[in-house]
Amino acid sequence: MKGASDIPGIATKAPEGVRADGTPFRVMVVDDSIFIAKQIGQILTSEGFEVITTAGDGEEAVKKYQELQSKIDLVTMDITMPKWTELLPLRRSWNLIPMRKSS
Amino acid sequence: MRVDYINPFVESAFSVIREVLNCDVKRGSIYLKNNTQSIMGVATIVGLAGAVEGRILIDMDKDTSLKVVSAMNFEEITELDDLSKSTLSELANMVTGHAVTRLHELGFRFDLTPPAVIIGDNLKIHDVGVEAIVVPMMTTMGKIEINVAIKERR
Repeated sequence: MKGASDIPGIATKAPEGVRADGTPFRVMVVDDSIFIAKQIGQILTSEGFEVITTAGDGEEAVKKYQELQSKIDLVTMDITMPKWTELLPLRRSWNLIPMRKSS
Repeated sequence: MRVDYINPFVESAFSVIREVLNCDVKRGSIYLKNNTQSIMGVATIVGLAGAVEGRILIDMDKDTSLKVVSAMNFEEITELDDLSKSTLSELANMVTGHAVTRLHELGFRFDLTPPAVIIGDNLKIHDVGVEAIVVPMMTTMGKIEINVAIKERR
């Protein structure tokens, strides 16, 4: 079946997820829905990003972030999910870019 | 049961199914049920509580559900695993999310429960004190029934 990268026209644009030197930005995807995490991962991958880890709740996200901190360039994060308050101390040190609430 | 708060769910289900599954959808004849109803095999249920209360059920058989989750994930999925259940939950979130936005605009105030996916053979559901409206959606992946039982809180 077709993925997002197969849509004509998309490939003509420089991928957003790749630096000038050709290396990808590395991402941690945090979402309690594995379906949504997978969709976000597919979209980012089609743009050249590299998803290096995922987490399903705040506690797991903190643990994985601390392990891989030096490798992670970007984190995508759901707002409402189990144990999200665990992420609050980390979030204070991040540059937050709020996205639209879907519903 | 007032048609005001049924229609948004039916319209939302119709457009979400058509868009997300990228397939042709035909609306079957709507029917009312006021007794125990059978569930086809894979049902996702979302509860409502507030000025109106009840539940929305998105019901399909297992074969259809596997086609639905395969289409939504752009890959063939052959069993109802965690990803499948998560996918069905998101389908229900999409359907109810659109409808609730519309209903809030119309002045209805209520909250939704997170979706629950129920899987099994010979399942039945019985709603106390409220009749259910069933809207069959005929898709190229099989039949998906939108089953709405809502009443105003007294």
